Amino acid sequence: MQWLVVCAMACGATAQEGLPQSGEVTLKAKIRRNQKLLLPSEAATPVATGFHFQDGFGADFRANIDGTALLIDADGDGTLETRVEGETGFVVLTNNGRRYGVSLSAKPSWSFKAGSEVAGKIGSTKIRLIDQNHNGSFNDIGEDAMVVGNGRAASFLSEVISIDGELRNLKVAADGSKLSYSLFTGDVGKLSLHAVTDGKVMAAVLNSKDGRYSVHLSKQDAEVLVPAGDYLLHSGVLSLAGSRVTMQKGRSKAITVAAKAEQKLSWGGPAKAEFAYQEKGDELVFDPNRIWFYGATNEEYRDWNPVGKSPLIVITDKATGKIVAEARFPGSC
Amino acid sequence: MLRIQPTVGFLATAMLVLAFGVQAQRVQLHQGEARIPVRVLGGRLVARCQLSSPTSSAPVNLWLAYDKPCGLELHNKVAAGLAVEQPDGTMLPITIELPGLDIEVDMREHGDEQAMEDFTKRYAPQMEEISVAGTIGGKILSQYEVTYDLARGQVRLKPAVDREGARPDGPEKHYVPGSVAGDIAWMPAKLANGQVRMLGIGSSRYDAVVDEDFCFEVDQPGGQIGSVVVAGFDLSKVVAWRPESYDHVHRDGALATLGLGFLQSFRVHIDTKNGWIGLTRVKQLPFPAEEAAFFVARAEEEVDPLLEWIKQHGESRLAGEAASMLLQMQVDEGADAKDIEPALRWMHETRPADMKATEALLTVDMLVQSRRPDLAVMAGRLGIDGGRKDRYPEATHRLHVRLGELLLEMKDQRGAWEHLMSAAFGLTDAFGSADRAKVNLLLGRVYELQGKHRRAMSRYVQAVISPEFGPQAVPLMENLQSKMGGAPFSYELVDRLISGKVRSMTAPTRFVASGKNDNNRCVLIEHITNPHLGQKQGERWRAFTEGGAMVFEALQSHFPVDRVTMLSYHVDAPQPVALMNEVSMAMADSVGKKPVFLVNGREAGPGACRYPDADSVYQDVRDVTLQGLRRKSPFTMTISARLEQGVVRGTLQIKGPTRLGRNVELTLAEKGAIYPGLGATVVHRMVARAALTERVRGIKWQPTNGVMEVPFERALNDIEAANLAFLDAYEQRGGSPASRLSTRLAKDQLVVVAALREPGTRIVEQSVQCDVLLAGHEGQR
Repeated sequence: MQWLVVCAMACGATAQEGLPQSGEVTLKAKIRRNQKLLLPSEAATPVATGFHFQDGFGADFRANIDGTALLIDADGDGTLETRVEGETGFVVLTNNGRRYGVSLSAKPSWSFKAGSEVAGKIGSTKIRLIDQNHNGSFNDIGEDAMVVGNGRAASFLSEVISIDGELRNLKVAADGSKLSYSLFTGDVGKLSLHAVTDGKVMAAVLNSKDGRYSVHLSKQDAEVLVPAGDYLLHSGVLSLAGSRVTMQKGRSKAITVAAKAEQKLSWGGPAKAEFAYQEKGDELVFDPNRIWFYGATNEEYRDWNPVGKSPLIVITDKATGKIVAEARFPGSC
Repeated sequence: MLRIQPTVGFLATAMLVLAFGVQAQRVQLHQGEARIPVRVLGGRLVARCQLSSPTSSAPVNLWLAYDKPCGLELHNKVAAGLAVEQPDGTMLPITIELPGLDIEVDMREHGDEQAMEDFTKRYAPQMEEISVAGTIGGKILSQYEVTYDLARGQVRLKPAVDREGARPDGPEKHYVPGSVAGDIAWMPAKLANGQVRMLGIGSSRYDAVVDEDFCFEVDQPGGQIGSVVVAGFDLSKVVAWRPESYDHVHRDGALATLGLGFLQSFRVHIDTKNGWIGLTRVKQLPFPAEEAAFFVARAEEEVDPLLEWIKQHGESRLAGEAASMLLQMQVDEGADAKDIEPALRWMHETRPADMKATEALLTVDMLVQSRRPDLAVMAGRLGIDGGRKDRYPEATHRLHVRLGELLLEMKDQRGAWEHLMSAAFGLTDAFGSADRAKVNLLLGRVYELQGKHRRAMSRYVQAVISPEFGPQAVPLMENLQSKMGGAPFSYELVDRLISGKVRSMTAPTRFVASGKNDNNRCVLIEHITNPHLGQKQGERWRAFTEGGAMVFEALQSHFPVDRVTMLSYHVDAPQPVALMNEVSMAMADSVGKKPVFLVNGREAGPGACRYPDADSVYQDVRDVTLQGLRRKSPFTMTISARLEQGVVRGTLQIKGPTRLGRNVELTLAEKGAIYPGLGATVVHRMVARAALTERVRGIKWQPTNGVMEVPFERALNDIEAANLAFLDAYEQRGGSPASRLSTRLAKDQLVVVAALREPGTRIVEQSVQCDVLLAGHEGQR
């Protein structure tokens, strides 16, 4: 408990002195060759014919295949001057002095993920924006990602963010060069989240049903001010000493945060599993891909990592309760 | 899949028992004490042991990692070798044989195989060429009393004895309460502000890792968190705390995990059964102030602090990491070469002596991709300087290839030639097949610049037959041929140049019509294929297109064109190619894009295979064709075609019964198209290029009094434009791009193939082909 108290004070639970109600912040690109942020929804995008970032970043960067290599026009001058060979690569696209990193992978075909962010500070609070949908624009609400403060967990880009306990409207330039903020004057409620888990909450993202607001929490117990409305668990990551599982919405339902009210949500354990099996003659066949895990709010857990830690399957005689057979999946599953 | 046979004949209930995270492994404890010799390698604790199962045994190296909550992790290959996982899902126990103690575990877990392989590759000589096969983790170690005695190069394990929590009298000098959480041993530490937080005992890395979230909370992102006192020792004066993402959990607040750096100064006795951890300081090592300074510099994420640090601490254990970060930051921020050069040199200096060339390759590639050829040359030269001692000698040759390419672009022909010749002598197919092909291509360019055209062409020919650089070689050959004069560039010229260098197949016999197969039937053989069918195996490509092409050639050489017509269609799998078009993709869809030979529309054999299998595939397809030739067709077809002023014109006449539901297809094909690919085939034959009917699927068979005449006419320019538009549209729909090789049609290589087909079944009733004659050379078939 003492630790929590110290933590709250260190976070600066009181509003920053002197932070204006509104303002503009210049954002600077930072190349990230090793992406360490936990993004809520990043999937690799095929390179196909190139990086068509005319809207937003402001240029088109063509690409082409040459045998097994990828050719890229990384400076947008029309010449495919950059050659990427091997299974991975990293190229910095440049346009008018600005930079956009792309982290490339050749398998199964050439695709890329974001290799840079744009960052600035509102007062002393760090803001980092990531073009999560890989379209060259940094202002796609509900599609791009952002990190407010320190830490690695990102939420989706939201119209409203919390800076030191106060909500601010946020507007980002499409090219990621700047953002502006102003005081949010709408209805505000409080969301209290409690995660029941033996592991650590590395990330948990909630989105409003209308997609305008998103918030991330990376603590077991967290309280956050949000615009009043309906919210859904979107995704999360639980981790324990290198073992990891991702959480997705699954069958969870929306929760309503009313104005000037607090809504509590407890997620995580106890977990339940559903599984399918087949009877083939006198054999029962279980498939490790046909077991589904759900948490307290019916959120789903999947992508357990590392593999090889199978649940125990126990078959009992219904009448006597006697264990008839036990089995686990092999360590390669 | 997991199959279980319950011991009773009916299913009652299946209940799934599970827990989040880790399952308990049952471990058999035996008496005795293990004194395990250990080494610290690459920041990990490595122990040699023997693993055995009821059927097999193998010597392995294992990581000892108390801070990993696993039991025994094993690489799949090792588990397979021990045969511990039965097909019915039952597991055989595995015994870890240690000096003085055997540990039996019920089952293994799966670990990070890539990490094991990378580690083995790096440290194989120090491990006597015995691989790291896995990890012994906290689930096993927590069941023993463990003593880390790294000063003596030893870890001791003995079965834990329940003394009802009594504090030990020794042998360690200090004892603190110890607890287990998540199978990891923890001890309490008092912080500067009076709080108590928990420290884990770890052995999976050198550094002491502290929760970066805590560092942010106390506004010390560099890890300078103040005193952390255990048993009177301020550990902040023993280790430098490394802030990282931290996912350990303890109910009393997990703060950090100590690493091998700590264990080198302390002997640690972990008795979690009775709740005690003993410490004895065995070495008074100086506080690693430079490491602490590095973590502070690193946290600033700016160039200047890192630069300042490395100037002062270039000999530090962390200098390599710092140099790498500095180089990447400077490159990414577009710094000048003179500012970046020191970081390059530090990277080179801090590399292991036997990996300077190997690791330089990665740096060169990074700099090339960053469009810094000047720095890439510098890095390459440094790598070559240190390459003599590199444990992978081909790394130096690969650097020569990189430098040759860079210097050629920088117009240094002499320099390029020297490096490329060094590479040419050093690389073999076993190590560097792709680089060898590149050397040929680049040497060709050097010779061409020097006016040595024959030598250049010879090198281009070597390159054109390579899977990786064939497509690049074609335009170079075409350009050079126009300079050299003589025969125009064509598929026939290329065929002659590569003859004897690529595999081909000619049928040993020729078809002779006699008896039942002496009739009017003309069979259609269709080949669905792609130039890139193959599989990478190590450094080489296992080509599959090649086998299919050999079969095609053999069939062409066995059957005359008046009895067997042939067409090939190119699909977009595994990679799109410029030989694909509306016609080829329509045919591809009908067979699910799989490479196949069709005889009169029916599948007759695989369309791709390895070259040793080509003969048997040829025989199968030939035999099906021979059967088809025995059946007389009720239809007769005659066709003529000519090219006049760029327009293909002609007429097809079909006579036969009024059988509804047939389509007349007219396809323009090219006798040979040059399109080298990963499938090791340079020239593709009878390539279907376009439909000569309005619809790709042809027009309806609608005879009048048993005769139908189909005139056709299409401009070659229109066909080429339509095919290019097809490729553009394909890419716009999200398809990968295809290089635009061979999109022009050679006027003197055109053939028209006609077929009468039942579209629903794909069955061909009759077919015919004729050459497209250039105006003035009339004739018909």
